[in-house]
Order: sequence, then structure tokens, then C-alpha cells
Amino acid sequence: MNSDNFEDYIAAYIDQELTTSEKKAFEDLMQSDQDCKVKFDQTMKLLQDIKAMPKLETSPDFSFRLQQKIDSSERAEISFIDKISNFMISSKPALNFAFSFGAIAVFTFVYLNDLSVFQVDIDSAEGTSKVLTKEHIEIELAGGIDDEFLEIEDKEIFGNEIEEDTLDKIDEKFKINFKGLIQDVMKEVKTARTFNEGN
Amino acid sequence: MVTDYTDEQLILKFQKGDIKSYNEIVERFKDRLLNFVNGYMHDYEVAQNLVQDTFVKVYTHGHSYKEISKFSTWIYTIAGNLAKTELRKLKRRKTYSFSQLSNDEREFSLDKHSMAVSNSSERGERHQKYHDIREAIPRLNEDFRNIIILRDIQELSYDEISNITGLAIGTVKSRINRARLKLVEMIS
Repeated sequence: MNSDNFEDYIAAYIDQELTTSEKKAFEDLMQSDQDCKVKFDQTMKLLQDIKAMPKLETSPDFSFRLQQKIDSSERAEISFIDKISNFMISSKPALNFAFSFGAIAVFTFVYLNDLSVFQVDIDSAEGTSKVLTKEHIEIELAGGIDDEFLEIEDKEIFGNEIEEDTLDKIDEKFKINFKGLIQDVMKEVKTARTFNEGN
Repeated sequence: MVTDYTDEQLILKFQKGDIKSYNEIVERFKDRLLNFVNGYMHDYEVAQNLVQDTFVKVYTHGHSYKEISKFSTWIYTIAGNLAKTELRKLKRRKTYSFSQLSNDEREFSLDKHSMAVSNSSERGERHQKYHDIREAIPRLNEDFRNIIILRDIQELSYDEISNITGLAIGTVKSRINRARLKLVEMIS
């Protein structure tokens, strides 16, 4: 024990947790080092002051106000449950039917979408079994390109090996491409009109 | 009416629906918790509200107490968490800033309750000392403040402090020395 680590032992000295030899070293240090003595005295004075500080007491209406808070907390809990049950039970049957129908429709849509029922299958429209990638679809929507060029593109984009996982991820993004479909149809109409005008 | 039941026995009886046990818990802990929370907030009314909120939580979530820790540890932890949350809210909102009050308002805020519980002969130098200590504790950093409040104001054991703060007992013991010396430095 020395003046540098003296303060680490103050609490243990006060709590009488030091061994006999540590206690003697502590007291010797206080006698020989004035700074240590000051630190110890200041700590003791602080503890005396804190102990003598008047303790706060709750106000006389504490329990009454606590009871009010408990009551309002219980009322809040009950009223939330009531609101839901009142809405479901006492609202008009037509509203209940509409709410239920809407919920079933949303559920059905989500379920069917998950089964890829709404997925745009451009391949089947062209009579091929080839799985299209994002790049293929963009090229198709831009007016199409011959198969030979597509094969070259395939190799440039993915190399010779096309990872199944990557294709699945890309396909997921194109489950519903209404915007692409509309653009495609518009393009076809425009091409037909240009062709007719040319004739 | 005060019974000989331990705190743990009282909360178990309350969990079985005994409201009298709950009331006794409130009687046992209300003043201790008020002094504890006031150490963080340094505002009597706010501290009293938080103590009430603590008891509301005990009432509504009493079933979640498990007899693996002392009841006092559990309730001090709830009160301490509410106090810390409130402190954070106050800091964010900045609707109440102690430093923004004028000196007179500050005096009133600090002493409005301690004046009520002390008689006129206690005023003067000693009263000023208590005032300085009460004002300095909330300004300690959180680690030191927690330990000073729990050890020197609440007089809890190192074991309980360790459970409440989640610190090792050795850390609590070494930190208490530095916390006390820091507080001495702040009030001198």
C-alpha cells in the first residue's frame, strides 16, 4: 500500500474488511502522508453528512394518488379490449361482412402470389421452354433479338455456368411486371400502326 | 398494519391476490424509493410520480417477479430504470433544465421539500451542506451516481448493489472510493 493506491483501501477500511496487516499499513500511511489523511477525513465527513441528511418522505396523499393511477391503468386496459370487442360485435353486419371479405381477398392474393400464379411467363407465349433472365426480358421488351445473339449475351453476362439460385432471385423480382406488360402491348400496337400506315 | 412477513413473502401473497400485502409493500418501500429516485431527478414531485409509477408496475406486473432475486433488488431496478428513462426524456425535450432556472427558483426547487422536513435550527451551514450534496449527486457520472445512491443513501449491501447494477462486487467496491472522492471534490 502506498499513497498512489491509498484511496482504493478507504472503503474497505471503513467497512472493516482489511486484514490486520493491511489495517496497520493504512493507518501508518495516514500518519506519514498528509494527503492520505486529508482524503480519509474528507470521505468520513461526507459519509457523516449524507447519513445526517434529512430523509425525504412521501406526501400524505401519496396512497390516494397511487390508487388513482392504478384505477386509470386498469380502465385503460379494459377500454382497449372493449373498443375492439365493441367494434367487432356491435358494429353493423354489412360492415363486418365487408371487413371479413376484404381480409379473405388480401389473404388469397398473397397466397396465390406466393405460388407464382400471377408470374408473367413470356417464354410460354413464345413457345420456348427457356428460363428468361432480367436481361432477356429487357431485350424482349425493347423489341426482341434473335436467339443466336441471346446465347452470346448469356455467355457474356453469366459465363458458361448459370447459377440456379441467381436465376431464381431474378425471377422473383418479375412475378408481377404489369408495367412491363403494358409497355410491351403499347409497343406492339405502335409497331402494328406503323406497319399499317406504311402499307 | 405492519406484519412480520419478508418482502418476498409479501409479493408472493400479492401474486395470489392478497391486496393487503401489496399495500404493505407500498408502505415499506415508498420513502426508500423516493430518496432513491430523488437522487437521480433532484425534483421532489417528479420523483414522487416515478415512485408511484414503480408501484403501478409492481401492481400490473407483479406476476413477473420470480423468487430468484431479492424483492428489493427487483423493485429498485424498476425504479432505477424508470428514473433513467425519465432523465433521458427530459434531456431530449429540454423542457425542463435545472440550469435554466434563476438562482432563486433553483433554491426553491432544491429546498422546497427539505425545508419542510427540517426545523428552523437546522438551517445555515449544515443545511447548505445538505443542499450541496443533494445538488452534486445528480451531476456525478451515471456509474458513480448509482453507487453513491445505493450504498451511501440507501445503505444497501455490496451484494445487492452488484445485482442491481450488474457489476461485479469488486468493481462496486473499487468504484465507491472514487465516487466518494469525486463527490467531495464537487462539494468543496
